Amino acid sequence: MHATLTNIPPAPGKRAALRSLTGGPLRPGTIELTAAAIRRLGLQRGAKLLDMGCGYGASINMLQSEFDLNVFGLDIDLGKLGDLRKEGSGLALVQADAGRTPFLSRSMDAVLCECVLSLLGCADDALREIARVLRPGGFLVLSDIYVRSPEGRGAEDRNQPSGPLTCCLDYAMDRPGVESLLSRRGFEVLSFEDHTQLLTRLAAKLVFTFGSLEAYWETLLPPARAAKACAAGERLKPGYGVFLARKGERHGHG
Amino acid sequence: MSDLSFLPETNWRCGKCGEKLTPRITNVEYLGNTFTMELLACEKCGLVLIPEDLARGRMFEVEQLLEDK
Repeated sequence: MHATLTNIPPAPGKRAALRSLTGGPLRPGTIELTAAAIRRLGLQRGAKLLDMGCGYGASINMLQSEFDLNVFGLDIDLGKLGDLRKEGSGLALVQADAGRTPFLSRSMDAVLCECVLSLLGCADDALREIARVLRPGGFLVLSDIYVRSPEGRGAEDRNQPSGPLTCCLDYAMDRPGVESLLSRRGFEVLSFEDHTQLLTRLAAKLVFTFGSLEAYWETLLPPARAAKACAAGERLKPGYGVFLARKGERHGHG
Repeated sequence: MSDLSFLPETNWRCGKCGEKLTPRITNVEYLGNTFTMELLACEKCGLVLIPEDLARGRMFEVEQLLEDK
């Protein structure tokens, strides 16, 4: 079985338990992994970076303290932004859909998008928006779950209802699928790093904590959906990786 | 992970040296991965007791995960 993540806010007590597993957000990647990816971009101090799907802001804090960037946080979940607002003053936070943000075209030097696209039924809309807000030559750091066995995707996995009961395997793509979307939106993929081992470790932690992956899923989903999420994990063999991409000079999008 | 504790209620003593078992923070390793948890261990020789339900349940599922099955 394999771990998958969900965008459903669990009950407060469970949320605290989940956050304690990864020292912050429930995601496979560590803050060091994010820092290493940002370091490779060679951004100047004060460069403008949009953290799309910033959640509780673990990366924002690191980006400000370690790289001295001008960071903007965006998330659809007002509750998470509210928690983040309480923790730090002066943060530039926006509640908006990833496919429709209020930022000016070509206004960002970089966009960070961690474990977001796999939760969206419209990843292409989000990538189009990222391409719009990035300046030509700007960078995208995209870390996410990806499907290692796309042949395991059955009819039962397609056309999942969008909305609050979304788990990342509903919309996770395989690596060529991600690269194809990036290319379509004018990005050049600079590198891809596989970190599936981190996803496996997170899954192991969930098993030790909750007793089984199915038990973990049942803390977030109705039993039938929990069983489906587990089965999908077995078939699709989710992996985890980080793409670095650069927006082409000729793709202005306004 | 160090906040996880698997301490069965038992009056068992160490099968090796007969000493009392007491809670101990223990590193459990498998395929290069280390997990820290509290288990019962012999006060004298350090032999660790892994309860059967832990071995057949959580540990078995974790082994399957780490073996990428």
